[in-house]
This record gives sequence, C-alpha cells and structure tokens, in this order.
Amino acid sequence: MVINIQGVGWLTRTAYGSKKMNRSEEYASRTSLCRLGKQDGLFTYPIKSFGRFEEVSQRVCYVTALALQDAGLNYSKDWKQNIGLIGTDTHGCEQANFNYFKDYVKGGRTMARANLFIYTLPSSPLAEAAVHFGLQGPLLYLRNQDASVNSLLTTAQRLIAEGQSERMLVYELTDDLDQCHVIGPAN
Amino acid sequence: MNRVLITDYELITPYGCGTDLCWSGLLAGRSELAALNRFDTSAFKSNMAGIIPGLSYHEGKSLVFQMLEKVLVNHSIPSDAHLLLATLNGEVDCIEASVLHDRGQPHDSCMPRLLKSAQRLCCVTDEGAVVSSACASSTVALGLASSAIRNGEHDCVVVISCDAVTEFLYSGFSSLMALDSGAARPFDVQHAGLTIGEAAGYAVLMSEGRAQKEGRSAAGELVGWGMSNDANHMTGPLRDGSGLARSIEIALKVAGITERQIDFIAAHGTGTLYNDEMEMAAFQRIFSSPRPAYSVKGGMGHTMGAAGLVEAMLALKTFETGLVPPTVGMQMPDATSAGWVSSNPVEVAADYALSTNAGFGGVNASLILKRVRNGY
Repeated sequence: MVINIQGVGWLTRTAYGSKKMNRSEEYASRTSLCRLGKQDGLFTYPIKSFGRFEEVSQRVCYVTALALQDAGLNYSKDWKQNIGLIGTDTHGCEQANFNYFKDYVKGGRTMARANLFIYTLPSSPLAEAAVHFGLQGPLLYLRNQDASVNSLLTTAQRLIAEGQSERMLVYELTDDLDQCHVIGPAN
Repeated sequence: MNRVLITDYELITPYGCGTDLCWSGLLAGRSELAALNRFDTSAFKSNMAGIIPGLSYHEGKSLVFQMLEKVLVNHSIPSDAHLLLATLNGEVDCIEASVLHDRGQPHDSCMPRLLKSAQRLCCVTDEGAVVSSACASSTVALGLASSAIRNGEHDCVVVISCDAVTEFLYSGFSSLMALDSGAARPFDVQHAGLTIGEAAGYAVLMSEGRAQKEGRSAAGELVGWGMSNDANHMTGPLRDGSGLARSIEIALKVAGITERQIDFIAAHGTGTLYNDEMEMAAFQRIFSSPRPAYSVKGGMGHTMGAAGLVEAMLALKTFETGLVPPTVGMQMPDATSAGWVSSNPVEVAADYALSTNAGFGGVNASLILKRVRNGY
C-alpha cells in the first residue's frame, strides 16, 4: 500500500495557511484565534465552546480544519469518519497542569475545576479535535526526546497499513509553528 | 509477519511488588482499597484509594520514579530494546511539590525527563518515546510495540507504564463526580463510581525469532490490537458501546480470529455507571454468547495509564493457571452484566483473551492475547 501526505495545515504566531492550496492569511496573534474562528469561515460549523478551550486545543482545531480542507476532505456534524490523530509537541500539558493545580490550591484545595482538569492530559487537544470533526480512528500523543515528527509519520503509516484507520492526522506543535499532515493511501 | 511474544513482565500494585502477589490477592477476592492518608481528602466525596505501601510523597523522588525503581530492580530487559513509556501524566506530583512547597520546578514533571529516568532504570540505549492516550495509554503502547515487531521495525520492545495516586488526580476525578464514596464495585448493581489506584510495570515483547535465538520462553503472544475513538464527548463514553466495539472488531481482524474464539475478557470495569454499561453494551454487540469477564479495579483501583499493562499481564496468569479471577467488590451483578461477571474464580481452559480499556477524550483500545504452549 502506498501512503502519502494528502494535505497540510499550518499556523504560526502571525499567519496560518495550507500547503497544497498555497493559502496563507495573516492574523493578530494566537490569542485571537477564538474571534478569528468566527470571522474567517474556516470551520464548516461552529466549534462548541471554542472560546473556553485552552490555547493548544484552539490551535489544534485550527490546523485540523486547514489540513482537512487542504486534503479536500469534508466533515459534518451528522456523520463521523475513520480518521485517527497522533501528535507530538514541545511542552506536553505542563502549562495546563500548572494552571489546573494552581487554581485548585488558590481555591482552598476543596473543589477543583473540571473544565481545567480535562486539559491535563497531553492527548486532550487531539480529543477536542476528534469530537468536533467526528474523527473515530486511533488517538494518541507520542513524544520522543527531540519531539521529532518522523517517527509519528512512520507510526501513522503502519496504523493505516494494518487497518486501524483509513487516514491519520499527524500533528507537530512547537512554539513557533504548528502543523497537521493528512496521511492516507494514494489513489 | 513476525509473531509477537511476551517474554518477561513484572508489576507493582497495591498488593505489593510482584505479579504473583497481585494474582493471589485477586483470586482470594481480597481488596487493597483503603482509606487514603497521603493527603487530606476531607473535601472530597471519597477517601478511598489503592496505594502501594512504602512510597514517600513530596520528599524527593516522584511517586512513579519510586515505583519504577522497585519494579525494575531485577529486570532482564535487553539493552538494545526499543523503549515505550506509557503514562497518563507521569511525575505530576512534581508540580504539586512546586506549587505547594516551592520545591523544584513545574518543568520537573515533563515527560522527556521521566522517559530519561525510565531509560536509565531499565538500562536500554534507546532514548525511546512516551505514549499517552489517557487511561488506555499502556494498551495503546502495547499495540504500537506489537505492530512494530510484527512489521519488522524492531525485534524487541519494552513497554513500561506507571501512574500514581496524587492530590492532583484525586481532586480532578472528584471534580468530575467520578469517585465512589466507598470502594469501587465494578459491574455491581450498586456501582457508583471508580476508586483511583496506582501501579507500575513492564513487559518485554520480542519477535519469535529473537526469543528463540536468545532461549527466552514466552508467557503469551500478543496477536491482536485495535484502537478507536468515540468522537463524542471529552469525558463521557458513547453509551451504546459502538466505539469500544469498533476497537474490538479491529483487534479481532488483526488477530485473524472470530469472537467465538475469545475465551475470557479482562474488562476495563472502572465501576462508573457510564463505563460499565458502555462496556457491556460493546461486549453484547460483539459476542454471540457471554464469556467469563472480570474487572480488577475493585481490588487495586483504577491505575489509569498503567491499567492496560497490568490487566494484559494478569490475563497471562489465566493461561498459566486456568482460572479467571473474580470481580472483587462485585456482589450482585447489574442487569446488563449478569451471566458475564462472577464474584468467584471461574475455571477456564483458555487459548485467547480479550483485554479492553477506554479513557478521556473517547479513546478505546483492545488487545487479544494468545496462550503459548511449550514456551513458544
């Protein structure tokens, strides 16, 4: 089975775009993604509670939409598809962990906030994307020492070849550049 | 395609250090869930947990590091094994120590740091990778390891897994209203939530060729693995069980067997209403008749990312002993579980086992293990 990259979505601190469509737009900053998501019509339908997502989850949803569009793949609220998600990043959920526990301590160590707790897993941003875009394949965070995406691409190819998923989205999230690659069998 | 053999494994659980201790405790129907004194639980619905005795908290080494030190003390992991470390959240007590006692840095909890520690403790040269997929982390890691060996990318992989009971996680599960006020009672008519537990362990997976070459006999074979996502909700499963059922179907396909060949099921069985019902719905979708099924979480608690490794390795003990353990804590099965689970050990001459796990973000993962005869 020949498997190749079918689309790429990317996001920097000031611009976002996709590879095949050679699309590139500028925007104010990553913190403005919430507002931007409502204005630029990128999402086929609004993401529920997008404004309450932590920043990494917003970025993951953004590059997912860009990558799916680049690959010519539609998505809908009404159906799900057999696409998996595998991602790596630089910092994992360290900041989310710190935010959650600091908030809990500040509140007197009696009642924690569930909406902060759910982001204390490195796989949570991928899960937010899976829920919104209806992606039912494998979902995992895979981090090697140098956070390189190559082993993820190999793993994604293997998962497709053995029938775990029809396609895989491979994420690489860094301080300066987020990318989502759509991997699938060549036609 | 290479066969994937499990040649060595060990566990540390609330029953103590050693798989046999855990196994005999479960067979005896003994629960190690008890009142927790590691931190103040007075604000929470529960004070129960499954704790490994003898670990120090916020006094230097992290909990999971201490667990790994103990379980890896007499290991025989080949130094050239590829390393996969599976965890939900690793050394999260380092964040607690930083926030509460101004000790260390929050960054001390980062995954690559724990990966480096694991590499050192198991004496492998490979820098390895961390696999995190919520409470299916080690199940997914075992699947990835098997896939890499079957396809010839590696001929030996060690999967290490660990997660600990911390105030961080306890407060979080409490905020989700997921805890039973007493000890977890998976599949019981009165099941009302989970109890958190802690565990660590490792499994060495090898190609048949390498195992024979090194004269290592196998405890079992990993023949199938399947992964899926509900794509439904961040914390609640698809209640009709279709998400988990899909991962079981994929695992059966990879194994090249039918549901009729599965002899028993090591279920996720957290004790929450949603999980237990979802899981039984999945089993009823797949299986043409009930199979002996059980959960170990009434005995040791939900060991989170480590649960899949613990449960898969304990399933190998059924091949060895011919006994399926009871579901500790379950007295009267709920309507959907009746005929599947038992409060007593069940004799079974098993050739194939299914082990299932699910977790936050809708993840599902299933493994199929096969009995080996005469070491291979």
